[in-house]
Amino acid sequence: MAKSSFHSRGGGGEDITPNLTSLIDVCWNLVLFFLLAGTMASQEAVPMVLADPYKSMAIPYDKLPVNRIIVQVTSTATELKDNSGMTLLAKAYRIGTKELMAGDMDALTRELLARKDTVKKNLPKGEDLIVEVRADARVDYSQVSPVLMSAAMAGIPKVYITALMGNERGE
Amino acid sequence: MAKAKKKILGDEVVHYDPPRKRRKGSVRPNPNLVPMVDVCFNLLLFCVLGFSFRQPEGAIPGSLPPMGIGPGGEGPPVEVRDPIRITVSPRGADGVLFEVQGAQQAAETPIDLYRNLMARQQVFGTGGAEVPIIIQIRPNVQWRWATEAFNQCVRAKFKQVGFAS
Repeated sequence: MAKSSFHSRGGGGEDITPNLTSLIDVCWNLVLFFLLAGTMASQEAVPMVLADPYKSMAIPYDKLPVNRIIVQVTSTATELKDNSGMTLLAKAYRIGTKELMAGDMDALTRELLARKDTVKKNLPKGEDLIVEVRADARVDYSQVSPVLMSAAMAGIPKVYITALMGNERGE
Repeated sequence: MAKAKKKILGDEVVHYDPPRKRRKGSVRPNPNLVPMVDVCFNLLLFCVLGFSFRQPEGAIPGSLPPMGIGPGGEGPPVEVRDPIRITVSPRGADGVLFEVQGAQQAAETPIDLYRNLMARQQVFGTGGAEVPIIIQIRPNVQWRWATEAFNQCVRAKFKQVGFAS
């Protein structure tokens, strides 16, 4: 093995410059991985089957106001690919990382009121708070309606509904 | 650039080797493939992680009638004047029926519902967009049909669309 000139005490050692390319590559890989993985984690979006309406009027997220509380309604379905047309029950309501029991309107209203108070302080003048309902498309309406009721009871009249964009089938 | 000289004993004339001839015997350079492989791997990783093959999602804007216990929303539900009522009911295993109040035939597809709503708007004239719509959904209807009805109302440019409580 050739000796590095740094460590050689004699005069005959070969100059070895460590190859930094591989080190930089590994670092770049790590940076890239954490950057992308971090973005995905921050979205906190539960994977679910979303409604795909014909000629969707859904506005892309980057054009939506930021002052919204997203309430996710997950289903009891074990598989995402299960599109048998059967209606399903809701598994839970999820606001951020907090999970509430499905159907518990009181807890949901309390949570919305608490978040409303927190968010309202930072709201720009003239802007209203919005509740966005991100529900599994296969779930019964009776499982989602408590979210709409809770939003109304918490005094948040603006409700957005999450949907996919780009359906042209019209079936 | 200095050219290689070839000396021949007893010859005063200097002979130059043409570059093509010189290259023949030279050692072929071995390109270092490691950086190239690294760059390719980076690109692959970027594409795999960065591209999403899912359909992009967004949100359809809407509003609810003010009611309830919250500040600014106290009191009983607000009575909406002369709204268009849409009833969404299940049809068969995977179908749906959109019944627009006053329409002769119920719509079975979102396209039909949109046509019904547009026809209704034309009847109302210029102020048609201001007419409120109340969507009444049967409890056992899938949420996707509720979203579909809501989407078609927004698409037909109705400004006040709400769900019946």
